[in-house]
Amino acid sequence: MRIGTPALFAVLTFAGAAYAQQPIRDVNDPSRHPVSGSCMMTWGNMGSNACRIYTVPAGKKLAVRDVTFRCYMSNTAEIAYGGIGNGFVEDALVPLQSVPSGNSAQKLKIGARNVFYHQGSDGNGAMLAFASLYHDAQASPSCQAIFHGYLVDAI
Amino acid sequence: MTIARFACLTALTFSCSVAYGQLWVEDVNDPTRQPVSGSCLITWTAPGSKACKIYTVPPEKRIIIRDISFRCYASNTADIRYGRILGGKTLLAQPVLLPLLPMPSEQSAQNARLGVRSVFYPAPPGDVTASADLINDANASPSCHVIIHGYLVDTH
Repeated sequence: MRIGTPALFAVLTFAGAAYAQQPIRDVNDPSRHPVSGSCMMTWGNMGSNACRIYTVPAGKKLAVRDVTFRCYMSNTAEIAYGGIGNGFVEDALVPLQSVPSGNSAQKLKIGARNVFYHQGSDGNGAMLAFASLYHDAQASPSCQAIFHGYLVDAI
Repeated sequence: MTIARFACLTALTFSCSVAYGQLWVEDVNDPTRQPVSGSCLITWTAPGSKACKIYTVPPEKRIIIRDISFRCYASNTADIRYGRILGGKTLLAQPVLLPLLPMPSEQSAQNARLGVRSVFYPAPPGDVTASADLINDANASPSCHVIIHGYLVDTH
C-alpha cells in the first residue's frame, strides 16, 4: 500500500514534533573528547630536535587548536620557532618571543598561538613537536611543548 | 519508532541516531570532516613579485582557510615584504595579507622572516596561490616556504 503525500507529510510532521523535544548532541563537538599533551626537548648539541607529543588512536582524528612552547637557552643561543607536525611539510609553526627569564645567565622564549591542525592515525599516528637550536648548546637548552585539542571519529 | 526514525533520517542530512532519548547529529560541514593542507615554495632569481600554487579547490567544493604561515629567507641586503594568499579567479577576489616579522637565523648573513596567522578565508573552486615581494636584491637564493591549513565544504 502506498502512502499519499499528505499522509506522509502528516506522519513526518508528527514525528518531527515528537523529536523536537529531544536534546541534540553533535558527535564532533570539541568538548566531547578533549585531549592535551606535552613533551620536552633537551639539547646536548646544536641543531634540530623533536619529541613525541601525542599518538593519535586508531580510528580517530586529532584536531589541534592551541600550541604553546616554553624554551630556555643561553643568552648567546637562539631558538627561532617551534612547530608541531607528523614529519611532513605541512606543519604548524609557532614563533617564539623573548620574555624576562629571572635568570641572568639564561634566556626564556615563549610562543603561544591558536592553530588549525589535523592529524589522523595513519602510519604510527605520532604527532611531533620540534624546534632548532642555533649558535651554542650551553646552559642546558630545553623546550617544553604543550597542545590542546580534541578527537573526532575518523570517517 | 520506525517511522520516527525514518523521519529523523530524512530530516537530517548526514547522520542521526536515537539512543536514550537524545539525538546524535553530525554537521556535514564540520571543520574536522574534510581537513586539508597545502604547501609550496616561492623562489626568486630577481627582485619582484613571485607566486606559487598552494592548493587547487575541487569543483563543487569551497575551501575555508584557517591558518597560514610564511617562512622566508633572503640576503641581509634584501627584504621580503608581506605575504599574500589569494583564491578565486575574478578581479573582485580579495587576498588575505600576512605580516612577516624578523626571526633569528642560523646564518648571520641571512635575513629570516616568519609570519603566522589564524584567518578565515573562503575560496571558490580553482587555484589558491601564495605570493610575496622581494625587494633590493636576489642574492643568497631567497625563498619563502608557505603552508596553509583549512577544510573543504560542499557547495551543492
